[in-house]
Amino acid sequence: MSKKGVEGKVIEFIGELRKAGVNVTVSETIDAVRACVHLSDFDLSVFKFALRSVLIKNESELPIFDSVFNSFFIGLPLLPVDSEGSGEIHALSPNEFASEIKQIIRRALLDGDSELLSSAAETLAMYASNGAFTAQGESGAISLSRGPGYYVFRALDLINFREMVSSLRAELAEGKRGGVMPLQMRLDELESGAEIFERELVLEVRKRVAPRSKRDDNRVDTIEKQPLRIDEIEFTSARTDQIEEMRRLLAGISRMLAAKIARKYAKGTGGKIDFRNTLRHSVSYGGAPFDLKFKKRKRSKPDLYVLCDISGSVRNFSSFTLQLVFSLQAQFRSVRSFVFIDRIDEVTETFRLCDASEAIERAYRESRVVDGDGHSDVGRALEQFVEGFSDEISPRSTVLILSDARNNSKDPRLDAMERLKERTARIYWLNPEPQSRWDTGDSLMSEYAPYCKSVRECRNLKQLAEFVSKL
Amino acid sequence: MKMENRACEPGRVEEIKEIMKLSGYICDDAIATAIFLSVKLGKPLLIEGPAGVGKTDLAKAYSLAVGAPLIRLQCYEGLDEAKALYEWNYKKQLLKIQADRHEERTWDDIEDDLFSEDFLLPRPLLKAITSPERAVLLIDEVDKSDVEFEAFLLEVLSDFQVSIPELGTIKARAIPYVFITSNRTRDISEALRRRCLYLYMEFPSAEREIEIVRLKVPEIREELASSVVAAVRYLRTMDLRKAPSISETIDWARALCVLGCEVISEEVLENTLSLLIKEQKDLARVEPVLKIITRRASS
Repeated sequence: MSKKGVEGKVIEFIGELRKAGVNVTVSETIDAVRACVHLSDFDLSVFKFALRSVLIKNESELPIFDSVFNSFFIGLPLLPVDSEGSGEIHALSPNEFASEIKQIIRRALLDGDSELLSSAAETLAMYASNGAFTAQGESGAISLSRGPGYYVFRALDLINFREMVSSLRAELAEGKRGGVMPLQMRLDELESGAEIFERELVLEVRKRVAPRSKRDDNRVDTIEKQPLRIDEIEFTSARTDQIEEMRRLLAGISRMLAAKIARKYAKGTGGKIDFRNTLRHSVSYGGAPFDLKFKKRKRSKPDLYVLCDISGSVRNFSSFTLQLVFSLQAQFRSVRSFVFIDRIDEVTETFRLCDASEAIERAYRESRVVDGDGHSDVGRALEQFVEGFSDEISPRSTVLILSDARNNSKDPRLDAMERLKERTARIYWLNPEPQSRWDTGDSLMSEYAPYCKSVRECRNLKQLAEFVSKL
Repeated sequence: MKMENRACEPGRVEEIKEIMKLSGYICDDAIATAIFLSVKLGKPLLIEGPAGVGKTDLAKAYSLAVGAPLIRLQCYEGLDEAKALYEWNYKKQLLKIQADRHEERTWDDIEDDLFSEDFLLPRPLLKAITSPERAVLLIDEVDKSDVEFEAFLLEVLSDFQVSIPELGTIKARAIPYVFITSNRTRDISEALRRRCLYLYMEFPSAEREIEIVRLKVPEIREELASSVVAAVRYLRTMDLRKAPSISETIDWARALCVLGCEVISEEVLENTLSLLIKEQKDLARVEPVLKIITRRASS
């Protein structure tokens, strides 16, 4: 390709990327063209990485890039896209995809085109390991735990690879495919091509499947138009694999919050200058105020009581909040955790031994939280809490209630809430439902709201972190 | 210790691989291409990826490779301009006033003196900009800094100039090579991403990791190196809280050499596991599968 030709191609390629939902700015386009100028000798893999580092700025967009690149520059089919995020791109059904890629691999094997073979292996691996097979009746969570071997097998099976190779071998032997090369040489070429393909496929699948559970950002199952940020995924609708990612992110968030809160309490920061103290110290420097002294800010650390609804709908949310509050323990005077469905129980101790989801699981299993029908009963839980722990809550206590306030038409027991309000410093209520859904159906949010210092919508990690940092 | 500035700017991607290898860093195509373009286009390189894949080491190795001084800015919650860019040396200014007290000087003279470069404490960003030779600026773990700081960084990185009210605008003498790393504890703003080239680093392929181990632990036998890597790679597929990093692979390989181990037996693995697994909960998960790991390692 001439330089000029490359330029045009790259710009055309960027058009395709945009169609697939990747946002490419004008300055990035210029960079891409400039990048090509610097690449002296043409090497497909370097060319690809060059475009990728210039055009893609987010890990979640890498699979889209790979797919579009392989399709545009190598002629491989684009990955099938599910109906939600198809965008303007022409989407193939899985069957069309399989037959198209089969054609290409066949041709590559016959021509002995090893470059095309390895690119085809990459695309196929991408497809196979992207959970696209889950459409055939398996849940994503199960297929996640499978090893690379499984995906290799499924990928080969999808294109009937062994059959393809043996039929090609037969065709060659029968002389159906004319050619100048002697038969033996063509057969050898076929064998080595098949070998290359399988090796590349294994490599590519491994690259995608093995580190998967440890990824920062999960590979999107299908190409989504706008990849969600993990901290904006809603607690109530997160998938199992997303929850894993969120858990990982939570560790980082809690470290950051701990630093933030600790800084608030640290002496000197944000306080006013203590003029007398500074002057006193200036004496030793001949009257110059060398050493600035600050007034210490007095802040009392709150006693925190966390009451968590752990019925199905809000369980994830509770588990995250419990975990977050627990990891910030040092920043509070004391933290005690309680969980309830229609009965309340303390899990502070269990918590020291295992993490939040396990503690909740245990409380649930040992049925310490269910008396009746297993539907949540906020009123009863409140009542029990006020009765059972009245000696321990003090006017310094902060109570944090996590619930969707859906009481399943049971008595809200506002009297218990009233008593709780009188005995504690403040009550916060976090609701994992969007504000627009409060007070719909059996939600009693606005009945409880007057007793709380603040009622917050808390749908994702971002909102949760924001709230906790201000506690 | 100051290294001579070889000032050789690599002209090809292959050359990056070569000079990086001389500095003890093995690059694959993706890494080498990203560094190459970042140098050629004069744009910062934003590197993301799991902890322990060698993001920070990449910048260090590059500074060694091109003989440019490394200036490191470690980000943390609460990092501000004063700590990243410059501060006035307030104590020295006070001393100066004290010393000059008996001389007859007007306020204007004193002011000019006090706010001159003599009293400026340059912090990493200013150092990188004013460095007479092209420096390598490593902005480490940018995700730990606050959002406001990121906005400030954006300004510095797009123009490579800084204005200090008392002194005027300081322009970079030589635009530094900038490497920014992030562990994604929070998302970096779109604006900053757009200013940079992007490299997502994963754990290396088995071949590359074996090469790394053999480069760093030259005394290791080839079979042992591949067993070590196979075992570590198996551990990484387990859902651990902290997967073993490349530097831990190297430490482990070194330890096995010191202990004179020829093969990885279950006993050896158990005794040296603490080099790879650093969390109690992870340890509890790994211990029951030691046998599987040794089998993996020996195959």
